[in-house]
Amino acid sequence: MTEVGTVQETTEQLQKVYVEPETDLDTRWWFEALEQDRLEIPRCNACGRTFFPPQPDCPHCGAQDWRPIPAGGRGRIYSWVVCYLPFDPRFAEEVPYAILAVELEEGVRLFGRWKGDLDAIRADLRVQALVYRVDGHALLGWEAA
Amino acid sequence: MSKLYDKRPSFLGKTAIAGVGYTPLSKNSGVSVQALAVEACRNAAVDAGLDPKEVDGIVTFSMFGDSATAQGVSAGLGSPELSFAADLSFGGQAPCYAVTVAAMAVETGMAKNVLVYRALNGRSGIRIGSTGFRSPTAPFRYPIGFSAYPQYIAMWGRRYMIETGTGYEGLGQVAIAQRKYAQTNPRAVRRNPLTMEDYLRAQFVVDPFRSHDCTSEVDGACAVLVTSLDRARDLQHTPAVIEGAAWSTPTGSGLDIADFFNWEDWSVNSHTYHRDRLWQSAQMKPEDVDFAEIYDCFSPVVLMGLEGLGLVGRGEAADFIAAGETGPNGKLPTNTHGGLLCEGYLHGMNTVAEAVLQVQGRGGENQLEKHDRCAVTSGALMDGSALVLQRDAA
Repeated sequence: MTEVGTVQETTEQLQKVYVEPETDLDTRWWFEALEQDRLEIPRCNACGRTFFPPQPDCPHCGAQDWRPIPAGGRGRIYSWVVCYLPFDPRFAEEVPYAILAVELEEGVRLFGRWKGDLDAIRADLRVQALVYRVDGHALLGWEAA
Repeated sequence: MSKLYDKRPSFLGKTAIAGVGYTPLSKNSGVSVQALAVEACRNAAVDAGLDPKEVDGIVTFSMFGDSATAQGVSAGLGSPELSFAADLSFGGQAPCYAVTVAAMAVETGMAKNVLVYRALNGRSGIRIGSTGFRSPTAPFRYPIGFSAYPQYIAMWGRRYMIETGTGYEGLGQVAIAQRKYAQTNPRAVRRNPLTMEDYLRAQFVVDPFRSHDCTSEVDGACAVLVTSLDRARDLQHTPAVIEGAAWSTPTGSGLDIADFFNWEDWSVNSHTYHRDRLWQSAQMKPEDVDFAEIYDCFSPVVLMGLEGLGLVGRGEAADFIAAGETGPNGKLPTNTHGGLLCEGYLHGMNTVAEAVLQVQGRGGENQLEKHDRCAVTSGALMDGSALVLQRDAA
C-alpha cells in the first residue's frame, strides 16, 4: 500500500524546485536583471509605491501600471535567521548560514544570503546588496555597508 | 485595527460543536490518510451520539494534496448523501474558519450535521515543515536556502523579539509551560519534563528556534461535529456553543502562504486584525474568557496570538507565561493539551478539539475548574481565523 506523496517522492520533487530559480512570466525579468548584476524593483506608476515580489498588479492600489526602477541596494536588517538544520540537503555543506530580510531604502523588503560574519548580524545594521552565483544562477546576497 | 461586522453573524449563538474524534497520534500510522480521516470522523459522530449516516455535510482542508477529500470520507462513512461539502486549500489558518463554514451551512439550512476534519500522515508521509511547493514567491526563497516553514516563522519570531525585547528565554517559557500540560495529556507525543536549562542547552534548528520551539510532526487525524444548538442539546454532551467567529486576510497578505514581503509588521499576525471583529461577534471582551487555545506551530505564535486577541498587552505575553498565568491555576490557562508543540501537529484541528473537550468538561486530568468560555485561534502568519466557544447554559 503506497501513500500518495511518499517522503522520497516529496524530496525528489522538492530538489527539483530548488535546483534553480523557477521563474514565471511575472518574475523572470527580475532574475534576468540580476543576471546582469542589476537590482531592480517594481514601482507603481499610479500610486508611486514600490512593491515586491514582481506581480501583475500593484498590491497597494491594484493598478496594472508599473515599471522596474533601479535600486541602490542599500538597506537595513529588518530580521534574520541562522539556519543550522539543512531542511534542503543541497545546503548541508553550508550550514550554519544566515538569511537576512533587508528593508531597502526604496521601501521594499528582500531576502538574501548574508555573506559576512554571523556574529556581526544585528537589527538595523546597514547592508549592501551583492550578487553571488550558484551553478551559474545569479542570486541575491548581502554584505555590511 | 479591525473592520467590524455590520451585524452579528446569524449562526452565532445558534450553532454548536457536539462531539470530537481523534485517531492515535504517531510517527508512523501504517495506514492511509483516507483511513485516518474516516476513523476520526466516525469517532466524532459517535462521540456526539450521532449515527455517521446522519452526517450530511463535510468541511476539510489540506496542503500539497496531503489529505483525503470530503467526498472520499463520505464514502468511508458508508456514503451518507451530502448536501454540503468544502475542501479548503488552506493550512493552519483553516480550523476555526472550517468550523465557521460548517456552522454557516447549518444555520442556512444547507446541512444539519457537518463534520470538520484534518487528516495527514504528517510525519511518515508529506512533512509540511520541509516540503517545497511551487508558488510565485518560491524563486526568491528556495535557491538562497530559505526553504522551510521553521525558517519563515523564525524570521517573524526574530522580529517579534526585536520589537518587544523578548529574549530566547521568552520563547522557552512557551515551550516549558506547554510541556507541563503535555505531561498529563495521554495524546501528547512530547511528554518528558522540560526546564529552562534543558531548553537553552538544546541545539538551534534555525536560530532563534530550537527543536522545543517547533511543533511535533505526527501522523493522525482529528474531527469535530458541528450542528444546530437545538440538535446538539438532544445529543450526548453539553454543547460547545459557537458564540464568536472571525477570519481575516488583511492588507499586505501577499500572493501565497509564504509571501510576507508586503506585510507591514512581522511581529504581529492576523489575530491582531480580526480581534475587534471577534469580540464584537461574541458580544464579549477579552477578559470574559476563562481560557485560550492558541495555534502554535512555533512558540512565538502563541505570544502573537495572545497579544493579537488582546488577551494580554503588547509585548507582555512571555512575562505573563513566565509568571504562571497560562498554567492551570493562572489567569488564563492556555494550550491545555500542550499545544501543537507537544500534542502533535494536526494542523490546529486538535487546538479546536481541545477547546471543545474543556468547554464540555471532558478535559481529563487537565480539565480546568473554570471552563465556560474559550478563545481559539488558527493560523500563524498573514491570514487566520478565531472562535469563541461557550458552554451551553441550558
